[in-house]
Amino acid sequence: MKKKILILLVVLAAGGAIYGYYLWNKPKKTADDEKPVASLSADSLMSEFTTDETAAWNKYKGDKVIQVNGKITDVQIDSVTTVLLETQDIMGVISCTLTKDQQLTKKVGDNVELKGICAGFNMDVQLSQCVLVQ
Amino acid sequence: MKKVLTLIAIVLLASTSTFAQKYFSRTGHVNFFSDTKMEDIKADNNKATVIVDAATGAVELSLLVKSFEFEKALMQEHFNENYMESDTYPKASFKGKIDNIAAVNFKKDGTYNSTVSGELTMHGVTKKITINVTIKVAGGKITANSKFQVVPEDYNIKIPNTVRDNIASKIDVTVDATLEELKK
Repeated sequence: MKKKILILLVVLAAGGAIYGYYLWNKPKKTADDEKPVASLSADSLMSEFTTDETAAWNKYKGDKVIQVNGKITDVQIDSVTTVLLETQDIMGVISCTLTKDQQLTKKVGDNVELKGICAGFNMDVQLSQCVLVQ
Repeated sequence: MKKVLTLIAIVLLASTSTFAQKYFSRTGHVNFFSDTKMEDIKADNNKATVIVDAATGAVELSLLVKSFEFEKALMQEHFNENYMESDTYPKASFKGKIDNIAAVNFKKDGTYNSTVSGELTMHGVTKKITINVTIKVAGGKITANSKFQVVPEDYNIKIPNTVRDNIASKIDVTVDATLEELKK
């Protein structure tokens, strides 16, 4: 009996350790994993936020995935690659940070379609963990 | 005629001094680092907006909390869901004033050490803080950087006792921004 309890404890501990290890190393959620809640142009997305930021945030908060298309106005590369999509807004762009394994084949001036997780609006609409839609 | 010319000259002078007085970045870099015996936690945000008014010394930095990138997915999840509650409080900001703005010349090469006093808002709590900022002007390129510490509990961020030892009581925050003249 004692032996059985001991074995059970060992199995539980091992299971816990494996689960813990899995959690610790689990990959980041990317936009690839989910169906987008909206698919729209860079302009439409920007105007949703400039018209009513609160309403737009309520629609997209909770790590919702948005699919967006537009023209690349700039590409910034440091530790991560960020693609900026042009909008009609004076200052704002759609700022899309790609996941680390994404290879950007497009360049400034090209049209692109990608999906990403909405991080909110701060002059730009920021999308994170973006993947290119082929 | 002379009067008209003088008037035009004054208007021109006045307009050049009011225009091109703002400096701006949309790629401000904010990093934070928590160092404990248990583990090191760090995160980067490269999308902070920074606006500096050279005339008044007003400074505004704003960022989206969800744009902080962590190495581990789990850390990022806990940070957003349990600690910062980013869906409820999506932004963090700092609004302040450069205390010795008269001594800072954005048009002249040099290193200017200053303090900026203002209000830091995050997790729905606003606190007065004063931070040290170094502004460097070199060949028309302006960079600003600052290091300061933040105590999570000051901003009503609750950290459970079970993980309290894994998170530093004071978090080191580093800000780096390259500013460009804001053209209207």
